[in-house]
Amino acid sequence: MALKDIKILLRDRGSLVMSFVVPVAFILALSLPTLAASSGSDAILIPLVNRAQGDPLADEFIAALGDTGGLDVQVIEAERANALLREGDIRWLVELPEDFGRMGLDHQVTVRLIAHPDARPTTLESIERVLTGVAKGMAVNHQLLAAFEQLDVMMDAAPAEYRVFTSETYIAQARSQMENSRSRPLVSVSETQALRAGRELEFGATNLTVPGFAVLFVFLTAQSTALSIVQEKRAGTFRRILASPLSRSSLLLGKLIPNFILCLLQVVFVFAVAILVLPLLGLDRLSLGYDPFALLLTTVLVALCSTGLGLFIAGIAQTPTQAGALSSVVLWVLGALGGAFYPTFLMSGPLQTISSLTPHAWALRAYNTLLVYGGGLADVLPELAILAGIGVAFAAIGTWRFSFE
Amino acid sequence: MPPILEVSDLVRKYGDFAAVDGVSFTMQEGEVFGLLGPNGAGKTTVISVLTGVLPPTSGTARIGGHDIVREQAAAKRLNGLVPQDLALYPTLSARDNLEFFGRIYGLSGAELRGRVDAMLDLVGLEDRADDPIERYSGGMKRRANIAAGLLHQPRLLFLDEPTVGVDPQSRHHIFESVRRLNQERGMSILYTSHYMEEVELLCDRVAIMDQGRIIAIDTVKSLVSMLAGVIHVGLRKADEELLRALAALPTVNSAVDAPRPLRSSLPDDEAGDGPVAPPADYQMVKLEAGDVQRSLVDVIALLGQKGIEIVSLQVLEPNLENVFLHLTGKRLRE
Repeated sequence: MALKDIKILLRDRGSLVMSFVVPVAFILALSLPTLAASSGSDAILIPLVNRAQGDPLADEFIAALGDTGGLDVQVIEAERANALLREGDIRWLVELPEDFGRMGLDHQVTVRLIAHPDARPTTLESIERVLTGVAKGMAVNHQLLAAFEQLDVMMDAAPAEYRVFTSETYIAQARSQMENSRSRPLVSVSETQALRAGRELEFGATNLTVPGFAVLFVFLTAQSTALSIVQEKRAGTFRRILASPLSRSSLLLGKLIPNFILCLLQVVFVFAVAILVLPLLGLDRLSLGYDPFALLLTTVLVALCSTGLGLFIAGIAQTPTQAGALSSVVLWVLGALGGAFYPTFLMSGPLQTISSLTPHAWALRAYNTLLVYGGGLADVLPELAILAGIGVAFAAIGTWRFSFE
Repeated sequence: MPPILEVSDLVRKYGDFAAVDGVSFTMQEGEVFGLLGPNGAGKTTVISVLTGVLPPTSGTARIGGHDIVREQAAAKRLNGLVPQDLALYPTLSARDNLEFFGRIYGLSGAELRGRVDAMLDLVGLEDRADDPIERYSGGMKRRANIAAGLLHQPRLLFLDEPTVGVDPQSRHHIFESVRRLNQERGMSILYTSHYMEEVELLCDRVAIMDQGRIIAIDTVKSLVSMLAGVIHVGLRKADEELLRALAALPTVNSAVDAPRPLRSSLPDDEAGDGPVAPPADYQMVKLEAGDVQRSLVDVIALLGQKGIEIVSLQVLEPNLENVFLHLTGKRLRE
């Protein structure tokens, strides 16, 4: 039964394009403009933790940030800043390290931009660019001064006849340090995530957008599941199979398994494109997090939930037209409410509550925890349990409502 | 030999509406049994219940001795269904379709391939076996549809309106297939149709259905013999005395005056200028007879003896259509 449906599916090229190419086209269509728009910036509030308090270089750096006009820097205490970030009251945090003032030719320092998972990737990119620009400018000055001081030290230490540094020597030294500032900057900026599990994960915009579209299209496959069942029910083939010794449960399972496999393949395909193809187009590479088993389990449950939803629609719809119309409306609306297009934190309070009723929202929370927060299986167990519950409920209602006649 | 199918007081209701209302009949092994009735008579519902597609509301049925409800799997293995709709996957080839339907009956490997080849040969589709069904003509699809119901070599085959929308060539092919399956393989066949010609041609016995009930069941010959044949004779100068003489013939049941025929029902004249005009003294007589052929000989002989010219002659032999009309007051295809 399942093999036959897979064979039919493989011959339906339009359906295959819808299942695999359209999600990728969506991701590209919505990600590329995001990348292009990321160069624009307005004044952005920057909470900053200065762990090098009292250091003139740190103060100089903070002042330089404020002078850019693009950032509104507010220095706050570390503990309070971290609490605000955990709660999502602030979306990002800049942290100057304790050793900031010791930056020098032999000591590189790192300014951290810590982002909340719900932070807009484009804004983060803007902040990172400003931070990097200010840090570079300041570091070059400091690097040159340090180099000249080094020359003075060397001249003092050398015998009188060797104290022959000329303007050419200083220019050469300056050039060398300028070159060093490009290859080994004294100050670098690293973007990290604030995590539930306390680990930090390098990530990009792709990790936020790709799971959203993968979830959207996996759930859209519920339409294929429903249509496949309702169409076969309307066709004589269903009647012929019912007249055979094949049990009704086998018949229904045979209809569901190919669509379940299709859902799994969709996620694999979309993730593979995000890992292999998007970086070639200048977009971020998808990071798969730290827990492949949890990722696999999440994907399996999302696929099961989509299949259950398909059975639910097939149980309600009486005709293929009804199934098509119902699933089109329901699945796109659920996708939008569930955060597949834009993060749920951008929604108003009531909408966020409604969002949590959609399977999409729970699927995305699980993916975000794994791919953005860097969490593991233990962190997503509640989401997976709810997702499984929704899937079982869909399947149960669909089976209850389903009429073989 | 026990009957292959025993149906007893079978009822199938949808709410208050009884689509099948107390149907009972028996089919012997090797018999071709017809279910004749207009669309909506309940023929397909009877088949759906007997094949396990629908549960009966009440009543019982046994296929090869197996109860269709309590021993459903065993009963299902004995029967094959060729539904009225084209029960095939259009994007798959005939071979793929047959292999799939063979597998759901537990066939596999060389046995499955051999059966598929044999069925494709039986319905004359071996040359197009690997083409997708959607590229077939209507008749070819119907033949493939039949083949899919035969793969597991059922003892009882349900053929539900197999010739709907079929061209004459494919219809002939289907008739031949039915005959071969019955005569060469001894397969019992329950054939439903609303075409009385098909049932008369193929079936040993016929059940006439209307509104969910069987209203008559017998051989075609016996059912037809319920009705008298009709002879319309156009004569000159048919008076009361002649009518009495005709009615007195032992092979004639009755003889009465009939309305004058419409001009358009008369034969064309020799010049081809349209129907001949009936003479002024033209009169139509309607005769009813049990054995039309014998009574026709007697009538012609009597009119010859009396020197009365026959202007027109129309013989209406009884058929299942007339039987249905007689029993229900409506035509089969209304």
